[in-house]
Amino acid sequence: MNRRHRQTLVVSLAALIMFVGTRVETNAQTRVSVGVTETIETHNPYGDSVSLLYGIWSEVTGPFCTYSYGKGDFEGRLAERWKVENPTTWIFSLSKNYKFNDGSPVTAEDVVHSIMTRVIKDPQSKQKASVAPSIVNAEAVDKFTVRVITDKPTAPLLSFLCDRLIVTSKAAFDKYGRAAADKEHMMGGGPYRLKELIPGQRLVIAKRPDHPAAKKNPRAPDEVVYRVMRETEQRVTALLNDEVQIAQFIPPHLRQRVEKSRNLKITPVDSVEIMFLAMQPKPPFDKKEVRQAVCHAINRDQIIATLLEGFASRLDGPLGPGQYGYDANLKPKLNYDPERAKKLLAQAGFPGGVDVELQTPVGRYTLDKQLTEAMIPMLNAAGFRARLLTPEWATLWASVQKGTIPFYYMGRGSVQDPSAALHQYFHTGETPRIGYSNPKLDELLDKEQQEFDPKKRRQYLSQAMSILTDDAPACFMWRHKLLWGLNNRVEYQPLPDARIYAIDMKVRR
Amino acid sequence: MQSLTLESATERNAGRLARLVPRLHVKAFTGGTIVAIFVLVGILGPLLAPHDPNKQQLTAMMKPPQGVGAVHALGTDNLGRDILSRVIHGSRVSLLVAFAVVFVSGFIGITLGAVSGYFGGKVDFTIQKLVEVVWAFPPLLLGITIMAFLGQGLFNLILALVSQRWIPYCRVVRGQTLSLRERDFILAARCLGAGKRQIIWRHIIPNLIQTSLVIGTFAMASSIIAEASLSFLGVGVPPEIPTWGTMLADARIYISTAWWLPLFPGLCIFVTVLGINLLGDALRDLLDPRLKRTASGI
Repeated sequence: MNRRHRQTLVVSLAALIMFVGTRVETNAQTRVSVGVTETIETHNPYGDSVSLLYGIWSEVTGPFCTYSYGKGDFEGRLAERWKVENPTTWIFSLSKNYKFNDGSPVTAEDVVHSIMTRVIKDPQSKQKASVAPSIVNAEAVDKFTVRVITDKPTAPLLSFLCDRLIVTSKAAFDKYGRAAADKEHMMGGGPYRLKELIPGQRLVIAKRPDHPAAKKNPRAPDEVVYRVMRETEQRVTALLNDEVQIAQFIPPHLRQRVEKSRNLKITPVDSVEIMFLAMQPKPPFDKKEVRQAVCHAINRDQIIATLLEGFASRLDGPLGPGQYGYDANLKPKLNYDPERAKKLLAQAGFPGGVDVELQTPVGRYTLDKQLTEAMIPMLNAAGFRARLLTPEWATLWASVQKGTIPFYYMGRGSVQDPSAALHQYFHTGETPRIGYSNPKLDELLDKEQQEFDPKKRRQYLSQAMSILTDDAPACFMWRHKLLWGLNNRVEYQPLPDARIYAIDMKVRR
Repeated sequence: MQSLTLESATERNAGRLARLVPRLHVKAFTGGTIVAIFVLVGILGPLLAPHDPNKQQLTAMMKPPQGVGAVHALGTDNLGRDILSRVIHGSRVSLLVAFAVVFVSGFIGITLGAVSGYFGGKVDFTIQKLVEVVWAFPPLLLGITIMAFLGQGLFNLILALVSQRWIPYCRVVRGQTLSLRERDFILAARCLGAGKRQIIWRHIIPNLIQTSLVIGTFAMASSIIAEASLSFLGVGVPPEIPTWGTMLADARIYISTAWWLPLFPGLCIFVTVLGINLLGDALRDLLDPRLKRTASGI
């Protein structure tokens, strides 16, 4: 072999190696793991009602529509357009580009099936109150048009449906039955398909490259693994070790640990989740003075400044700045005033104090146990004899949904428009979570929901929130500034409602 | 030749004993001292603790240990509570739970074991089947299940821990009773007209105390760990009762930023369990019949 031949051979080999290397890199699958705090307990997409799951299932089955925080308005997805035919009738026009995994199109029949059969009529559904409280009928006008009829005018209907209505295949349901369709044949029209679900542990979704949304963002990860990690240390350590690339809800005291790493960053987001202490109107909380005393007893500012290191904003009513219907002049304000709390307790007939048990989840919300522990001496200083109970989340959540816990710390997510949340927790008979009933409040909440004029609607909302703050079936505490830990390889702007849409992520290969 | 062998064997045993006795004393002394200190701290807790263990000072949270004589010698926790005071009060609960569990499970286990062994037949069969069924559950899982049903509380916690801890007593006691009931002094008691209850309480159970004492020491150590485990998992005592387990549970989210939070309760559990184990080990060696025979030169 002469010198020229050797040179040709070396160049050829180098070219081959580069070519193969490039091919390998091009074909490499990208995977993003996300450490999440909420549990994933069931294969039934309608079997639970928690913020994270609405996002994940929407991604698998295709969001019906979505709220864009950038635009401050709702955007079409599967439902491309909509119009209000009359105050109780909405027409939704579906995109023809959405296809199930088997290639069949997502049609109006599927939407009708999902609303009527899965959300409203199925006894296993936990989503009627938060997705379709006023919907009485949905019908297919044609293959890609759906008519939704409500029992009363419902102005905020989109806030119930967008990012919440999960659309599953009617054909799969009819063919395999509910359990098998959900567990073994999950058909979705979304940009990702369900690959694996191990309840309580993890959920894996894989990208459908042919999906219109996936084509728009080719850098979206090919596979996303949602791993349930309740412990903050676990999430932070996993983030530092590159086991997860996104970690939800880093507590303030651990943010420096993440920031020290060159590969990681902290992204703070003002959450739209409202945190509150719920009080069922049963003794002693059947007395308004006792409920108000709870609100006056807790020094929210001190808790925010110390335990939360300022990463939260105080709520004086159900809403904070940036949320629809927020009223900065809302009255009354139940400020920290332990002396007033003592007087209210005495007025309620408890001059010597009263026993109360506050229940809190542990690890579900940022520093939930620590924050409620800090409330106990504050309540005691105001005349209560308070105890803290820390049941398992599954037990607590099941009891809250049944309405058997009189006093608890909880959060309500996705409150861009408060209508759904206020109805869910405070309207008579909607859910037993608080069991509160006030005809005047019901009237105002009904009116705001029926009012299509935004100015009048805000007025009704403001009046309703004023009653709520005064009557205090719940003490509104704060909205967290949520800290997300992100690996620099992933470009992603977390959303204020903590939904995670993988299709909005961009991964550096 | 034979007497020479016996003599050398006796010498060897005596030598072993000579080496063993100081070791036993060291173990018994060390273990006993540790246990005695913790029991004293537990009893005198309110007098020794410099602060109210539940008093929060949010403005003084997460202070590192400041040393002897300082306001917060072992520092403060995430809610500004004094760690030294909480550790002292924690010892009360941990030891109270441990003693209660040992006594209650000992009472149940010894009684059932003696009845089972003495009566035999269907009684023995039933009790032993019960033992097998309860023994089949993983201890921690059984504890969690009981606590989930009954709810948090000191009494419920003791109940959850007792649920399985009576079994070692029952099994060992049954075995010994089977042997004891055939002994001459039991036969003599029976001939003298002693009733079954009298024989069990007056003649059998007193002979089982030594063995039970050894089981009790190890049960005590395992109870402290089990209490800490259940409290760590959030199903033990309510959060307002400071225990070493709840302190560890509270500390786990600060483990990388405030080392003193998990260190002191962890150290207390370690030292106490070590002390009880040393004491139990020494007791076992002292009460071992083979060693007794060696000591008497047989």
